Amino acid sequence: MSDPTTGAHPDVDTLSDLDAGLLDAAMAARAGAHVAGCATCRDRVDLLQDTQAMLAGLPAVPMPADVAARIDTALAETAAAETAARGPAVGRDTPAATGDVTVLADRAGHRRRIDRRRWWPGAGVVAAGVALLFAGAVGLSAVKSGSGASGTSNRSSTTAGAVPRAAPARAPVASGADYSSTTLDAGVRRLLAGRSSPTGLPREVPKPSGSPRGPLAATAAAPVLDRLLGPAALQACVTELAGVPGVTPLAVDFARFQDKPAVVVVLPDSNPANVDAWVVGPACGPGQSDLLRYQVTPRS
Amino acid sequence: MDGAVEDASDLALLRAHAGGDPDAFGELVRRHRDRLWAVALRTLGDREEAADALQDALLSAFRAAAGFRGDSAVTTWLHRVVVNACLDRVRRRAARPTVPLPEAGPGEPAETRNAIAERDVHLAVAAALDALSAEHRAAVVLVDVQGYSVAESALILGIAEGTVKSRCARARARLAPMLAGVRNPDGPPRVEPAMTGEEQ
Repeated sequence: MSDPTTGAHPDVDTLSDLDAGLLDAAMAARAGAHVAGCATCRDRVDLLQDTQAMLAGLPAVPMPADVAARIDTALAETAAAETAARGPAVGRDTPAATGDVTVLADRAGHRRRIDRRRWWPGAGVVAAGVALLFAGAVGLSAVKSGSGASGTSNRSSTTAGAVPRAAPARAPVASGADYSSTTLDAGVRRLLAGRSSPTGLPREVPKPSGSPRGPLAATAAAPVLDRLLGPAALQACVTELAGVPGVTPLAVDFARFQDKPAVVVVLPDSNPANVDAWVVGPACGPGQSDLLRYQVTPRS
Repeated sequence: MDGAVEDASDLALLRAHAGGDPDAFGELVRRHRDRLWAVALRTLGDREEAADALQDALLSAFRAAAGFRGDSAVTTWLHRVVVNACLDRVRRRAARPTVPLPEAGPGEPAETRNAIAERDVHLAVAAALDALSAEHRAAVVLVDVQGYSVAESALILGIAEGTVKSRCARARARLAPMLAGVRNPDGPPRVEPAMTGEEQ
């Protein structure tokens, strides 16, 4: 404390400012000249730098489990309160019994596909720009599908880069499967690969008697989804999710999510290594996404 | 993931939350909670207070998410909400009892200092941080401890970059004398007494 030369030394604030490059040129020159010739001040500058190193060397402090649990609970309670305040949940207007889902897929992967041309009449026009943007990704998944269960026929038109107008990588399907937040990633990858049954157990419920009504029979067991079978309604939903018009989904599956009728819409992510999985309820449309789940899913 | 991509998906999550997805905000928090926790803990220096502040901050972010304008990265915004909650908490405390500084006393033998374990260095640094003003501490925690850029820290704190730099420099000037006794004993250890008298 009694260093006789202290008065001549720049104070520690000045040294710290010098070290941080905050002094104006004249001050910096004067302080710098002093420090260069003063072992005491050089050591103080060293100490300031050591201090910075010690600060940087503090260990990471992961959130403790009890704090994480407490915050998760608080957020979940708030979310539940908001949902309750918002009105009836999707599930309530779906009187169809859980077991009634018609599954158009069997374990072998044979399934009724909805003809892409019915679904995307204007795809070539609307999606041309989008198709160019996503041609790489689309081509990739189309190629993958070709090497997969190649027995099923109607995907043959999805030849990789050759037909860029085939913007939706996959025609919409109606697996009727019941996704959950844990099976969604794998299910989405299966959709992209053309195998629509998600990893979870596909619901193998026998079809109701009576003949299916063509493609529209897809959601016979979940009639609340029928509205979205219309290409215009579905595109409006996609636009709501994407936030911009003209985006063409990579895959669409009329299915269930945690036992609620749901449509899984797979959109490109800004990172080509990922896709965005949007799970929506029957009300998805302009101004309302009716989101049940959103997940960024790695393509592989 | 690079920052831009991460932020794009953060933004998508935030939008999903605003659109009613009950899980999206929780997922967003899970992505960043360790960093947010570190900032809260280092800024408040007390585990329970940090937990309270973080919970308050995240609940208010949860409610405010629909109003997020996208004028900064989602993580910057989240950090700002958390840091503000912490600083509010500090300001509400009438007087903050300062933790005794872990300064090496003049009579302490050198080999004791040299034998101080890394863990003790960390404790000493944490205790020294606690002796700073909240404003200085918040700046130096973001920049020096958590490694955020001056530019991002300025956005988080809502102050100019120059102010961030100067608060950090002042904070280091306060911390250095307190840490002289525990630093790596390469250099001569005997300069700290002259520095401690310069508190303003």
